[in-house]
Amino acid sequence: MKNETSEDLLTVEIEPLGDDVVVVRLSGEIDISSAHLLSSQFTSMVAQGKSAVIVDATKVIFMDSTGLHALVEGKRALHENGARIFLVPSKQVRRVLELVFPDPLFAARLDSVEEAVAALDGAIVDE
Amino acid sequence: MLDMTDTHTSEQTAPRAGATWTWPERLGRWGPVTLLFVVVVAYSVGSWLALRLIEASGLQSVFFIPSGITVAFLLRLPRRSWWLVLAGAGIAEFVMDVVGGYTTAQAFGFAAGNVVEPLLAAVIVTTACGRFDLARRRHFMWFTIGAVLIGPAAGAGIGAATDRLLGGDDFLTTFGQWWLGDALGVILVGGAILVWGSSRDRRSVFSWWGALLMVGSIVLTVAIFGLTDLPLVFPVLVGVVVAGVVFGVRAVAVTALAIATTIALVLANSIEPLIMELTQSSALVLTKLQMGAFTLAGLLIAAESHERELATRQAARSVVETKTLELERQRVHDLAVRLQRGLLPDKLLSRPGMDIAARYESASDVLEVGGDWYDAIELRDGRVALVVGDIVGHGIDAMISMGRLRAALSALAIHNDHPATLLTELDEFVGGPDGTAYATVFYAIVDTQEHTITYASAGHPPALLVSPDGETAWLDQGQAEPLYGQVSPRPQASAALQPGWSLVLYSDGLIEQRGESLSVGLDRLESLASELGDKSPGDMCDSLFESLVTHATRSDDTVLLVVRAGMDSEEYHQVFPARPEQLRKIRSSLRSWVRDRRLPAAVGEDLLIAVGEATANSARHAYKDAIGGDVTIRITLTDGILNVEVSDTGKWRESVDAEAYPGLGTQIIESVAEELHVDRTRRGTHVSFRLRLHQSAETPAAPSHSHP
Repeated sequence: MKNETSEDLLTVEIEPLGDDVVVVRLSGEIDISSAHLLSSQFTSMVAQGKSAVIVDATKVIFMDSTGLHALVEGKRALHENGARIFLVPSKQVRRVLELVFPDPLFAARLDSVEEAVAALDGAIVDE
Repeated sequence: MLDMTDTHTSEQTAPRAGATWTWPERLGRWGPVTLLFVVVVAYSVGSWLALRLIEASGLQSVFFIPSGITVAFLLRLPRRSWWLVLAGAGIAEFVMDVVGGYTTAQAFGFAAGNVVEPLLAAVIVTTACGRFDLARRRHFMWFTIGAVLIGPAAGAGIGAATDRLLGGDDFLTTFGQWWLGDALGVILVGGAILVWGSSRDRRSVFSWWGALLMVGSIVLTVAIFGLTDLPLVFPVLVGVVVAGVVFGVRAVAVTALAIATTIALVLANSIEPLIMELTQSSALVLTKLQMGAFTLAGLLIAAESHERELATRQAARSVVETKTLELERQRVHDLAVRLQRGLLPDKLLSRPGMDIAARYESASDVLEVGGDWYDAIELRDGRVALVVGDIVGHGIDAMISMGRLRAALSALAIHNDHPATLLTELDEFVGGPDGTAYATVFYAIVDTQEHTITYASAGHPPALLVSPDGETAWLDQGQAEPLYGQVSPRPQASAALQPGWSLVLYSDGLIEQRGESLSVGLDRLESLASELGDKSPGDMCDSLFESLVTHATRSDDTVLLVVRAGMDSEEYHQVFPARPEQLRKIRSSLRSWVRDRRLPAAVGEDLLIAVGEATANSARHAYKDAIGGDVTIRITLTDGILNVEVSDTGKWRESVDAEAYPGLGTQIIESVAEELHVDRTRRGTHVSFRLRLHQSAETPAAPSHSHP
């Protein structure tokens, strides 16, 4: 039998972009078993006082309500600390988001991390 | 020249008949008396002929016939009979000498010489050669050394010493005459008798050419001696040598004897024998030497040519024999394989909702072809029984047992709903009058409606379940001992056979390799099959055979039966443990079902999202309580609508407050699906909803499409 862990279910890579901006690259699937990996990243970003987090979810092939919860909670915590969050969703992630939040939860419809970086510079304003 | 190896080989395979005289032994208790009598008579007659008929003008006999007779008798008889031959020779010589006017002492000395001479000769020859055959080069050499040179020399020594001591002629003259005469006797008479004991050189002397050679030689000899005064026997004897090549040892020996007899008769009756400068005596010696030398040369050449021919024949025969043997072996193997294939199903059962393939490979060695078999039997209630069995043992007997057991099983299966009772009935069969087998059997009943497998194993390796995305499970319950005639209650077990999953049944040839534990073979099969989960049964069989049944391992038969369930069914029915880590497996199995059905990608995604929420709900409780049950997912596709049911058997301890956002999952399901019903009871939760394959007006529009 395959040895399955939340680690190989969801991979999280952190890439600093300057001093206080971080790109969190996600790939895999986010469900009960792996959502905590995402939550703990947000907690750590808040603790480090980052000013902005770009979540690259283009390689997330599945996200359920637990993942959505982690994302929404992360966004709330970051905002409370004056930080901004940008999400570059995959098609599936966008579908789940839009099913639950008919109004855009994450302001911009970003298709790439480059667009997110541009948004960071103020071209697109986060809510 | 041939080397000893070839000689040895030909000796081993040559027929032996005729080399030893057995007639004295066959005569029973009269044998020894008869043998003694025959020797006495033959010796006496030979002696008389030598002295009376071919005695050359009062000088001496041209060749001493009895010396050849005695040696021939000894070489043709087993050693235990030798004393009779020697006694016969001694008695005959003694009596004839006494009658001939010699003193008792002289007669005794001559008799002793004529006994020691053949004895020594025979001891030397049989010790060196074993069973004697004049047509063998090596035997011929020892014949020349022992019987022609040493034996007569010893006899001549004794004879000449006796003669000299009792006031006879000069020792050397007597010795020389005796030696030469006896040696010639051995060559000519002994040779002529001994060639008939050659069991192998059967080139006939009785052909027209052989007869012509003999008559021609005699006429030529008479002519030479009649027309000239020269002792020129060699032109005739050259003919004998040539004959050796063409006609073999028999022709040489017989012709040489005929010529020598002719010469001797001519010499004995010649009025004016041999003049010129030579004395009669030395001319006679020269003639004798020529006869001896040419006869020996002829015999040698005959033996040599015979050996070569024999070697050539032997080589040709061994090539033919090897080829024949190989063809025979191949024929028997083909027959065995055909027989076994004949006992296996011609055509496998084919029915909707089930895809079956089987492969059979017989062992490469005919002795190893055995009693593996497989079968697929449709039962009366529409379920299908699958069988793989292996008769312990190999060869035709195993095949016959297999045929019987397979027939019995097919007959019993139809009336039997339970694998365990079926195997018990087979126990009875095996223990009964027609059952001789000791066999292992894996028997499974597959129900494609209920998606279950019920199975039992009689000492057979476990069957393997493989999901399309490579998940595997061994059917290793329901195990009991092999069938061997002891009737006992047997266990059975069951498992779910999810649509799209493959069931792999096999015989041990697939997993066994020399010098390897069984578990290694099982692991190898599992990991290979796991890679092939999405293949059709036929492809899976081919790939497994290609990887696992190599020629090097084909020491056993191998059968393989793969069944894939429900590929034609539109229904998805799976049971998973209600645990969080199972969710990804559920998604994975759903993805392949969606892919196999070629459902629209967007519907597939929504199905995954909705089922994901429903199953996460079940798993979440188990997660919290650590009391797990199963979660069952059933999806049917009717008229473009996916009807989804997700139910769990987990015991509810908590309400849904474990959810992060109460109702978020439900909200998501409601967004993608219609007619969501959630029933929570004490036994579990049952969730049902519907998804349309094709979006219609009343379907809630996905906001993403309208979003700017």
